[in-house]
Amino acid sequence: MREPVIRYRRLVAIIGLFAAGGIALLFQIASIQLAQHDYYTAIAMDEHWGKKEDLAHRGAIRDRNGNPLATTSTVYDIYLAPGAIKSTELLSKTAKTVSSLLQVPEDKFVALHSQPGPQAALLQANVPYDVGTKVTDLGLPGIRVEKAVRRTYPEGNLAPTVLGIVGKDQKGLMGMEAYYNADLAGKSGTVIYERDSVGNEIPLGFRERVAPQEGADLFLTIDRYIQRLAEREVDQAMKQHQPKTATIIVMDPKTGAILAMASRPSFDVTQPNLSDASQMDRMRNRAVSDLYEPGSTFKIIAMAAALQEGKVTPQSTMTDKGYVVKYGWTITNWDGRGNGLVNMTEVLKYSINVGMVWVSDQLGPDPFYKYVRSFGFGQPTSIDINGEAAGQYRRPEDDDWSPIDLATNSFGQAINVSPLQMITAVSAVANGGKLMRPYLVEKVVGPTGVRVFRPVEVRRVLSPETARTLSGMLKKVVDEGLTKLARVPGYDMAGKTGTAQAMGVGGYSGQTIASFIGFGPLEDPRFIILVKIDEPKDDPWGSTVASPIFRSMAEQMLVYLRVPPSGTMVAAAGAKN
Amino acid sequence: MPVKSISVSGSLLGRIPRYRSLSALLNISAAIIGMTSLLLLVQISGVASMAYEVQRLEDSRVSWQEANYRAETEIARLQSLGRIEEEATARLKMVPAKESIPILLANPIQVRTPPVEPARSASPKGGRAEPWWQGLADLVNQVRGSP
Repeated sequence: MREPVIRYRRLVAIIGLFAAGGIALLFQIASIQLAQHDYYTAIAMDEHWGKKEDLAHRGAIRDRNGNPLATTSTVYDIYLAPGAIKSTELLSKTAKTVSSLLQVPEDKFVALHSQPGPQAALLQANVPYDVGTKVTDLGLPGIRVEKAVRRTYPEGNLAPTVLGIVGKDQKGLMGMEAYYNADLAGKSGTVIYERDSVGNEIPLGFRERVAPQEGADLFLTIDRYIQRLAEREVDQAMKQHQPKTATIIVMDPKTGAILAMASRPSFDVTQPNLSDASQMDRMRNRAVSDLYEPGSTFKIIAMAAALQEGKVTPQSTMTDKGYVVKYGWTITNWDGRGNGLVNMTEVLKYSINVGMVWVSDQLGPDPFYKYVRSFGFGQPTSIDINGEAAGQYRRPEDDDWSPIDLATNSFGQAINVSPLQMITAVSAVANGGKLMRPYLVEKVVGPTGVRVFRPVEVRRVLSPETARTLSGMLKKVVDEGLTKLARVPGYDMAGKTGTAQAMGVGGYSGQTIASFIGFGPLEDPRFIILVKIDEPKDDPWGSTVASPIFRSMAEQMLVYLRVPPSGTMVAAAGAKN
Repeated sequence: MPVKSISVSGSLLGRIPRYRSLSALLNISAAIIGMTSLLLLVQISGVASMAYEVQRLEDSRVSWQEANYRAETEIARLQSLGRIEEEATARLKMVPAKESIPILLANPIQVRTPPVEPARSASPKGGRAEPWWQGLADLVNQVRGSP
């Protein structure tokens, strides 16, 4: 009787075990199918569907006439897997093929192939597209071909601090590349495809491609010809005067469009080296980010304020003794000599500091600083590039301001400005009294349309009459000033020299900043040029260091812009085409 | 033995003897299935080859676009001021003018302006037209459905 009972119990036990197993399996299935449904679906999708990013072509940066300054081209980086080719015969054959296509000698190829370790060796980077595709099509053993995009610069190292650079991921790091990265970069596309268990695309499987939206082209206000002139002049100045830095900015005074912006020392945009700290300093755009005491070029601003307020006229006179004592400080002229009775034009012509102190006394602190602010000093100009400095000076409402600041500010001391602020402010004199916002990009042309940047008038700072009067005074500075080295024969130019003391550690260094700011032709100004030579070694004066650079630039630009000189011979044209 | 026919008057099938009708039915069915299969095969083959063609055209488009970018870069390099100056001074032995004499013409000559190269991304007048293969690609995607 016992046997059937045991059998029955065993059966029950087995059934129970199976039932328990079944229940466990059911739980597991429920857990996978229901509780972890999303997780496993994602894994399955990931296993089944592949997704590739299709990089958008980065837009080009062009000059104002459409000439490309920076473009993107597709290249290839070609690698070799060491030890991948087992047969000696095949190795020799591959080495021969590779050396005929790439700049890699056969022995180097063999040496790279025999090097230890699994790390693939770079055979050649930046291989041109046609050569790269040829290597790809050959399907050589052990050779890996990787597509890459690189920025190329058809004009060479032109305007490096304006253009800026891109990283390896093709994102802008500085300059225009960074400021307009969103426009230049475009939108990456995607390719979704069915793939097999190894991850390869199934030939007849589903494939969906969302095409990338190519990046827009930037049309700068920079003119490549004028930029090249400026670059050449700063290079020449660096060689001749061996200064610490040199900067040239050229602007269209009527619109605020920057035509050229060059500074030295700089870096090579075609081969930037981000790992070198000294290179990082060279990458700064000194025209917008460096501050300096403008010296006598600032007399233009003080005189403009006094003329506009009606405190002086070009014929107003004062007696210059060569020095003046203000609040216990003695202020002297640059040469220490007195000029006797002089009018305001002569104050500018001979760059008389004592005369400017007299002008600032006529004006008083509140109107003076109202105009300094109005001309845009102490605040960024809002130009479309990163790293702009605001500049600084003490205002009457500041605790550390003293009346001596008014006197020294009037001839450009104890005030820090950027070269860009200075040229923007003086542009207002050239264009009839309007302060324009400087800008570097004229238009953005993309696949979805064109965005045009119009000139922006920030405010009117002078009346047209005052601007005209001051321009006439500045013309006399060029024509009848101390050296007359800024004169351009046949043209009426206006301008002012500046020789400021350079700042060192704990005060003035004894070196100078030689500068010149001028515009022309007077009847219809086409350009304004600022030249700043920081600590020239051979000659400290703005009139002898910076003025000739202005003249050289102006002469070449007038020919380039086809501006006829006054008294140009008029000839009858040929009747036929 | 005389062959009996199904007595369904007016019907075509009714007039066909039973064993013949069965055989004919089978033949017709086989033919229909065969034709349908053939049609399906032709269609699938057509879609597949069209998908290949679309892919090939897409690759070709990318390749032409690359060639276009390269041509543009090459044009820019050839037109660069540095190269022009190099050619002028080194090859043509030209020197910068020492003096320029401007002459203003009373009746300027009408110079024929050279054709302006279109900017790469400039939109043509009236908006950008869809490339012809885009419609084809959309059609193929519609036929095949989405994942």
